[in-house]
Amino acid sequence: MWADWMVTDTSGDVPQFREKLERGMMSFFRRLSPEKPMLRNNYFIQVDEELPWSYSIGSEDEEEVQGWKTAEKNRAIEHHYFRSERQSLRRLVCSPSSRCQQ
Amino acid sequence: MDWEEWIELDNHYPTYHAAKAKRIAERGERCCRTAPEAQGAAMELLEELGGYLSERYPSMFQRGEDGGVRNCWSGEVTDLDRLSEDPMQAAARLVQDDLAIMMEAPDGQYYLKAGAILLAGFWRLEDKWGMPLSEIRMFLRFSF
Repeated sequence: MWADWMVTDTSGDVPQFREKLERGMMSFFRRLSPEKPMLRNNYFIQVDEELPWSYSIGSEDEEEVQGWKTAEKNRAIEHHYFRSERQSLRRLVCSPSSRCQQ
Repeated sequence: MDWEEWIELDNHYPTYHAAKAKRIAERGERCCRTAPEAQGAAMELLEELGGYLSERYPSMFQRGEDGGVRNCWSGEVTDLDRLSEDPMQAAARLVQDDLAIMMEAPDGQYYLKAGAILLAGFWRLEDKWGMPLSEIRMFLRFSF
C-alpha cells in the first residue's frame, strides 16, 4: 500500500488513518528479519536541479523545518526535475566477531 | 531484496563522491552523526558495507586482513580499528546512498540514532534526530 500523499497531505485530517498507517509501519519494522531485507522506490518532483538540498523549498540553514509546503510555487516546467530514490531496509545483527561489540 | 542488489554503484559515483566530500567538509556533524548508543550498530554497518563492497565490486574495493577497506578509485582507506571520523561519515564516503540507523528502545519504539543524510534534498538529519518512527514521516512511506 503506497500512502505518501495521504500521510503528508492529510496529517491531522484523517487521524484514524494515520494511526492505522503508523501501527502497520511499526509492525512492519518489528517483523523485519535479518535474512529478509526489503527494497522500494520513492519518486519526487522538485522544482530545482540540486541533489544535496532542494533549495526551492527554502534555505537549508533556516531554523524552521523546510519541506514541500515551503516550496516555491508556480515554477515553469523547465525547472521541474524528477528525483528517484531507491531505498533498502535491513535489520542489523550484532554477531560475536563484529566490531559492534565495542 | 536480493542480497547482491543491496548497494548499487553507477556511473555517477564520482559526482556523488565529490558532492558528499564537499557536504561533509561544509556541514560535518549536521549531516553525519552517531549517538553513543548507536556506535556499535554504526560500526557493524561500516563492516557490512566493507565486506559487501569488496565482494560485489572487487575491482573497486579491497579489504585488508585487518578488515580495513581500500577504495581503489579514490585511494581512500577506511581503517575500522583507527577511525579518524564518525563511523556514519566514514560509511557515507563509500557509497552513493544516504544512511540511517533506527534503534529499538526499551519502550519498543524505534528511534533515529545514527545518520549520514547528505543528499536527501528535502529533509535534514537535525530535524529528525532522536525521533521515533511515527514522527519521521519519510519512513512512513514504506509499503507494507
